[in-house]
Amino acid sequence: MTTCNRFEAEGLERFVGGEPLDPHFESCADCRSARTSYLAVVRTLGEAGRMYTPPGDWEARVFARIQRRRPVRRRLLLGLAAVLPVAAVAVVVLRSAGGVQALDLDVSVSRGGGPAVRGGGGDLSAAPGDVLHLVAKVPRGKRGDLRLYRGDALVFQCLGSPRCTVTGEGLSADVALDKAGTYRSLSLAAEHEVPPATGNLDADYAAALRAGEARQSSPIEVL
Amino acid sequence: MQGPLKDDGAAPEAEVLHALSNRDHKRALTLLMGLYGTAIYNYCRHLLGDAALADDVQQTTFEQVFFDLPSYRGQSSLRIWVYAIARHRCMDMLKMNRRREHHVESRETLPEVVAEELTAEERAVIASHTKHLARCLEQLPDKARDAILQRFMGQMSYEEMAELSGERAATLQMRVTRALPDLRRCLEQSGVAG
Repeated sequence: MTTCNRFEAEGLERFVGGEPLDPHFESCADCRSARTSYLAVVRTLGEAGRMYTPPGDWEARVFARIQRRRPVRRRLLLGLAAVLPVAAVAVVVLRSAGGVQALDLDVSVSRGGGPAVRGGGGDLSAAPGDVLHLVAKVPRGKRGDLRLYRGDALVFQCLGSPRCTVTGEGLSADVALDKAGTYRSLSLAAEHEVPPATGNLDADYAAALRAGEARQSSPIEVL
Repeated sequence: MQGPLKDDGAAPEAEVLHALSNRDHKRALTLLMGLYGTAIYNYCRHLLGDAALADDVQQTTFEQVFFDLPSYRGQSSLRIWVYAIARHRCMDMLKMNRRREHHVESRETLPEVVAEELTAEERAVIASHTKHLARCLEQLPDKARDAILQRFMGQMSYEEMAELSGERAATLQMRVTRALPDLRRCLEQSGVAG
């Protein structure tokens, strides 16, 4: 005995598009059964969409994160950050004196000498010649670092770089993007020593998590 | 192509737009969190398959919403705009977790919070179905899972999904059409659908 498989072959695309179905699919028992089964799948998905409620304090935590981040952003916008240029030293130990509670990472791009912009609703993109602004807020009393990778390879490390500045709340650096590729930034903080950079993003991220905490930016496509 | 039946949120979004026109971004964010917070959490929860990661992405999503609100120009509905931010964050998280499996070991560190408005019986049935659904969704490729969730959980039209993802509506519809039979078979084997 054969079964009619026209519903999956022809009707399913219209079904998932919410479009009217051919009368055959009502009169054919196999197709009706298949349609009923797909309706059950859709119903299960709809029910699952209201299954979970976020933790009760989630809205308050969003506002708390915004409050923590605002001062850094304001300074960025005004260009008045009280920065201290750091000479090329072998190791810089950061002991943040500010009131930062959590590690944070902010990335923006200056295009053609214009103002810095952040990704609106998605990832950042840039072109060779643009400048990447990296800002890491480091929790009070912890040591931190700020790094940039192209692909998985380290191309910039704040600690020890003359381009790195120490702010009241962490580290910042401007890095010219000279080559196309996918860049990611990493900020890290640790109670004692930050793990040395191995040159590989995955290894550095894993080491940072073992030593303390780490934040990784969304990819920045340089085309 | 028609979208599933839904409340399109036009009236509540008007209130958000009014707050934006008054440059009251805090009020706008509060309204947006009330409108879409739970939906975004469920979308991320099912896309990522992890409560702690969903919580983290929801936090960063609405934080970014707040800072990007001044640049919102009505290029898409606020609902799709918020979903687009959440989707980017979720996709990043998926990529990161694929790259470092050890990070996934921290899964399920937050307690699961089930919607309170459901009866105990409804919760039990949905919880059982959701458990099987989660396992079956996990077997789909990320993009197929994302498309299925947007379509049937987010109740989006393919045009809205195209706006959100930057892909063609026809491509997305084909993706859903191809993934749904796999999902159906998996659920049937679990005794959920069929």
